[in-house]
Amino acid sequence: MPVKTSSQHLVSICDLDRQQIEEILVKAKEFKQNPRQSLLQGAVLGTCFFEPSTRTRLSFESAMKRLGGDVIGFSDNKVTSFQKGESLADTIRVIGGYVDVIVLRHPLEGAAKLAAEVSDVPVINAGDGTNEHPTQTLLDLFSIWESQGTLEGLHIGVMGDLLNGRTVHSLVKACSLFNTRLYFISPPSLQLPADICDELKRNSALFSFHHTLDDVMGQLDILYMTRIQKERMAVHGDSHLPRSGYVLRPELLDGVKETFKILHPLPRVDELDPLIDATPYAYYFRQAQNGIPVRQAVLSGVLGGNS
Amino acid sequence: MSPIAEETYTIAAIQNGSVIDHIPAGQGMRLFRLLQLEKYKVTIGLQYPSEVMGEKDIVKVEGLEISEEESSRIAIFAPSTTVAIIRDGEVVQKFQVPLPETIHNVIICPNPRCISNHEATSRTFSVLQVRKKIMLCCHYCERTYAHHEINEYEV
Repeated sequence: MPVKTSSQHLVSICDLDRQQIEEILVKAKEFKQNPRQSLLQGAVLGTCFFEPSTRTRLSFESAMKRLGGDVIGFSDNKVTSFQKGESLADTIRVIGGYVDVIVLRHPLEGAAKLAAEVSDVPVINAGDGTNEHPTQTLLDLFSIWESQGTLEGLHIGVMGDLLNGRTVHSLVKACSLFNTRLYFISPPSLQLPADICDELKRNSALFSFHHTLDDVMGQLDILYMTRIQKERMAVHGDSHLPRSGYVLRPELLDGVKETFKILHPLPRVDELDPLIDATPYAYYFRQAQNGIPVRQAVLSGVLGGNS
Repeated sequence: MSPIAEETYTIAAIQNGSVIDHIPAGQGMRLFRLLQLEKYKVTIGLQYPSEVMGEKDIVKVEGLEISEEESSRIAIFAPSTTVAIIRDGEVVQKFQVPLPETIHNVIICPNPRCISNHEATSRTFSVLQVRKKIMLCCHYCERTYAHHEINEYEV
């Protein structure tokens, strides 16, 4: 089946409005129920990973192959002309001539936006430094929707390094489109940046700040956890604070809602006790698996393989 | 005669052109480069006493009427700046420089991890007003900065 290229890019979650997000989630649900389809037969995905990644790259490759497409690419910039001094813009222009869609991971912030500006084929951002990682946000939203049956009006707690975490910034911006009530739990110096708070206010989102989980656990439908790196706390002068205050242990789950679920973008270190894995609240491994249907939905969307 | 009035006589008057006044002291030469005034007859006064500002710079350009749109390039350095248009020795128009919506190729992004500091690309910033403060948002890395956080310029 010939593939029609729509030349849409996915650089930031902000590229999508509420309706487009909902369409992707519905499409992802269809792919989860029926993963092997030939919608993208004959199409080639180029994975351009200028820094290491295993799960994002493999899930994109798997998603493309389940849709009948092929994959070429690299996962180490040492093997590319980048090492010879070639610019990112030239690399993207050249590779865009070999493939129908590019998935890009790059250590520099704004790299995906620049790539999209020079590329003739769709570019999907798979992480540009600490900036954006929109397909992670989409799979987070899909997991929330799948586990709760809705995105509207949920009470969502977000805990960890809220200052530096790109997954958190994109997620809370997207959640604010669905009238969610947000609770931010972090050490004082790792709170959500002021510009993100301003954006949430512009979207009329309700949110509050907390230093411990105890205040909010009973109210939450979802707890989204991220890692706090020890060195981050040192940099921001909070090294005296116990990181254990931001560790989830089974005893903290007493009194949570029946439908409560825990999400984590993984990998985890010690903030999520492995004893929680066996509880009905753990959803993070299903969340990781949801990367495949969501990326199938995104690939078929940008390549016009929806019909 | 007051000392301030005495100083103003030391800058030659122009017959037709633009007087850029109330420039924060130290920004006059930057404005000269930003507005690409090299091909005009220009008088630049640096560090003149000002009752309101303490010290200020003044730039007078013969033969060029600077438009509001052109002057917006300098607003980010000098939002207090005014431009007077002179014809036949008379002021025919006076305006304060307007803030632009975007600024191209003037500001170098302070984020060392921003792609604009590693590739030959345009450097574009959106100008936002957040809680009455002017903030600058990089087109590529999307980080937002207050003016005092910008340390490097292309001019």
